[in-house]
Amino acid sequence: MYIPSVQHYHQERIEAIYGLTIGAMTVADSINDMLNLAVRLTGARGGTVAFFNNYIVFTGSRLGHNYGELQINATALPGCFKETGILVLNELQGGSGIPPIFNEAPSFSSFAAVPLMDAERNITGFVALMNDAPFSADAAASILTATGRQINALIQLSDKILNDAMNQHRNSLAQLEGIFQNDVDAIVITNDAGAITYANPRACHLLEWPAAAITGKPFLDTFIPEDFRNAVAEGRNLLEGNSVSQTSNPNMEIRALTRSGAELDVAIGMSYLSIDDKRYLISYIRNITDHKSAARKIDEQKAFYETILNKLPTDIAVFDPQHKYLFVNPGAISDESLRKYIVGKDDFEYAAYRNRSEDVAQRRRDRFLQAANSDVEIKWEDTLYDPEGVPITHLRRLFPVRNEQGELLMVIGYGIDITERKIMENKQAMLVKQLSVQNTQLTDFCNIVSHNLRAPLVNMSMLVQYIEESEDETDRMELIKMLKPVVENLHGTFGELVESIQIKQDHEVLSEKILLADCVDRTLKELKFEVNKSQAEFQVDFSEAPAILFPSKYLFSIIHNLLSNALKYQSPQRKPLIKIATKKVNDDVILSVADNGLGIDLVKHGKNFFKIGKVFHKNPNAKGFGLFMTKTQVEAMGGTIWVESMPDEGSTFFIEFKNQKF
Amino acid sequence: MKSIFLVDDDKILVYLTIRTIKSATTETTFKDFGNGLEAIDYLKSVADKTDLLPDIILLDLSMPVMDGWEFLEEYTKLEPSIQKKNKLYIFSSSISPHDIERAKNINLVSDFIIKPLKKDRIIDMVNFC
Repeated sequence: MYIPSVQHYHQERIEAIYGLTIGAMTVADSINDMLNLAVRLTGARGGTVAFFNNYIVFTGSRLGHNYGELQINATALPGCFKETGILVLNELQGGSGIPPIFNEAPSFSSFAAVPLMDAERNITGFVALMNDAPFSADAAASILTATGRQINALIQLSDKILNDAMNQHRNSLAQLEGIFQNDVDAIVITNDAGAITYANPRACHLLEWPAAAITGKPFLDTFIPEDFRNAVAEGRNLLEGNSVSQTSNPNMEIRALTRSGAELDVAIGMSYLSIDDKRYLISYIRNITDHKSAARKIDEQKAFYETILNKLPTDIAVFDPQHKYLFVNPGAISDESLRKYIVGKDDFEYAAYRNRSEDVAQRRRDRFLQAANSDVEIKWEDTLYDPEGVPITHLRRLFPVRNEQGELLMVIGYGIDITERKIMENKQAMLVKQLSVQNTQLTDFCNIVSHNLRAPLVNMSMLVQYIEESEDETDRMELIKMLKPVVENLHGTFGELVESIQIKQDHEVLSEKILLADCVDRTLKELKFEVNKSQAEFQVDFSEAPAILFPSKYLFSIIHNLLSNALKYQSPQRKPLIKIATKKVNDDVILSVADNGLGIDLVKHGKNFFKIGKVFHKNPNAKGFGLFMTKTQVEAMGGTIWVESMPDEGSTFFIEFKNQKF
Repeated sequence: MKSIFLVDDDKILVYLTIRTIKSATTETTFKDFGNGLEAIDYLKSVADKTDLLPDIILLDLSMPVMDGWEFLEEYTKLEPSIQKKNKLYIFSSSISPHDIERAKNINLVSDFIIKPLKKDRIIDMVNFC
C-alpha cells in the first residue's frame, strides 16, 4: 500500500501542456481525445481532467453535460483513492452528506476518478467521469484506469520534453545571471508575475536580503515603499507600451526598502528582456543616498537662507548688472505670483505689467545706475503714499557687488520702513520749533518784566523821593499829580502781562464753535466810544465761513485787538473803512481785517513786527502789547498770523485758523 | 556848559532826570526827543553846527516809531558827518543781560546806564566828556 502525495504543478507547467505539441496534436488535444473516448465507453454524461496548482483544481478538460466548476478539496484527495487506485461515489444526492473530496455538494449524483501520477508516483491530478446514473464499478474502473494510464504516459512524456525546455531556459537565465553577478549596480530580475527570479550580490547587499531568501519575493511589495509603487509600476507600463523588448527607460529617483525597514534613496532603471519567449524585467538599482543627502543639505541651506530673507522685516531685491530682478523677498512684493513674475524682468516691464506709470521705474533706474557706477552703497529716503494717502517712508540702500576684477556681479537693494522714525523726527522738529518760539517768548517776557514793569517803578520811586525831599508845597503837588498816570501805566501793563501769562499756561484750553458775527458785534459794543468818535464804517462778509472753532476767550481777544488797532491807527485824512471777511481754504479758515489807516513800513519793521513792546506809531495809547498777545494766542492753537501793509494806505491782518472741519 | 540830549518817550522820566541832573550840576543844557526818529532828524539838520550838537546823548531803548536800537543803526551811518565828538549812553529801565551785552558790542555806546540816574554818576559823566 502506498499513500500518494500531491504534486503541485506550476502554472507554467500547465501552460506548457497546452503549448507543447507532440506529433501533429497538442498534448491538451490528445488528453481531450482520450477523455472523450472514456466518456463514450462508460456512457457517462461528463468528464474532466484536473491538475493541481496550489490546492486549486485546474479543470483541464470537460466534456458533455456541464456540471459547473468542481469544488475539490485537494488535501483530502490522496486519502480518497484506495489501493486499487480508483474512487467511485454513487448516489451523491441521496442525502448521505458531502464526501470529503468535495468542498460543496456537486450537481451530479455519480463520480468516478483515478489519480494521475508522475514518475515518483506523486499524485499530480486526476481523471474523473460524472453521471446522473450510478457507475458500474468494474466497467468504470477498467476504462478509467486505462484512460488514466494513457494520460499519465502522455503527461510523463510531455514532462520530459517540458523539463528539457525548462532546463534550457534556466541555462539561458543562468548565463544572464552570470553576467550580472559582478555588476557594480544592484540588479534584480523579475518575471511577468512580478516575482524576483534573480538578484545579484550587489542587490542582496543593498537590500540586505540573502540571495536564497530573495528569490520568489514580489519585487514591488517587498522593496518599494508604498508611496513609490505607483511610480515604478507606471514606469514599467510605459516601458511595456514601447513594446520594444530591450529598451531601458530613463532613471527614476525613488526610495527602496531594505529588509531592516530602512529607506534608501535609489535611482532605478528598468528594461524588458525576453528569453525563449519568456519576458523578464531587469531592474538596475543604484544607491544615491549620499548624492541625495548632499543635495538635500544644499536644499536645506537654501531654504534656511531663503527663510531668513523672506522673514526679514525689510524689503530686499537683488538685481543683475542689467537691472533685471534676480530675487525679491515678500517684504518687497507680498504677492507670490507677482514675485515669481518679476524675476528676470526689470521695473519697466513690471510697470507695464501692472499698468503703472513708468516714472517710478525711471527713478529706480537712475538710482541703480548711480549705485552700479559707484564703489560704495548709496542711500536715500523714499516717501510713498498708501491708498489712504498716509505717507510711508523707507530708508533705501543699494550697494554694488563686484568680483576681484571689479566687474559688477549684482546690485543688492534693501529698504527699511522708517515711517515711525520719520514721524518722530517730524515731531521732534516741531518740538524744537515750538521750543524756540517759547524761548523767544520767554526772552520777551524777561524784557517786559525788566522794562515795561520796571520803567513805571523807576518813575514812582524817583517821584516819591522828590516828594519827600521837596520843601515847596506847589512843587510837591505837581509831583503827586505826576504819580497818577505812572500808577495807571503800571496797572495796565501789569494786567496785560497777567493776561498773556495765562495764554501760556492754558495749554489745553477748549475750543468751541463761535459765530464770528456775534463776536464782532460784541467787540464793537465794547469799542462803542472809539467807533462813534471816528464814525468808522464796517463791511463784514462771513458767508464763506460763518463760524470758527477756537477758545472763545482767545478769539474775542484777537478780534478786539485787531479792530481796536484798526481804529487806533486811522488816518487823519479819511474816515476809517474796515473790512472783515473769512475765506475757506481746505480745512482751514483765513480771517482778514483790512483798514485804510496809517499803514506800516514793513521794510523797516518786518522782522520785529509782532514783538512785544513794539510800537509803530506815535500814539499815546500804544504800548506794543496787543499784536504780541494776538500772535501768542493764534500760535498757541497752531495757527499763523501775517500782515500786508503800505504806509498811508492801510494794513490787512490775516489769521489762519487750522483744522476748521466741523 | 555841557549839552545833553535825552531821547526818551517817557515825559515824566525826562522831567525827573533833568531835575536830578540840575540838582547835581548847573553846567548843563538840555534838549529832549520823543523818539529816535526825531533825534536823528535833528542831528542831521545840525550836523555841521558844533554849537548845536550835544556833548552827551542819553538814549532810551524802548520807544515808538524808532526805538533805541534802530536809532543806533541810523546814527552809526550819520556819525562820521557829525562835526562834534560826543558820548552816547544807553539809558534804559531794562536790566536784561541780553540788552546790556548787545549794547556793549556797539562801538558808539560808551556805557549802559540803568534808570534811574544817580547823582554821582552824573558828575562822572559830565566831567569825562
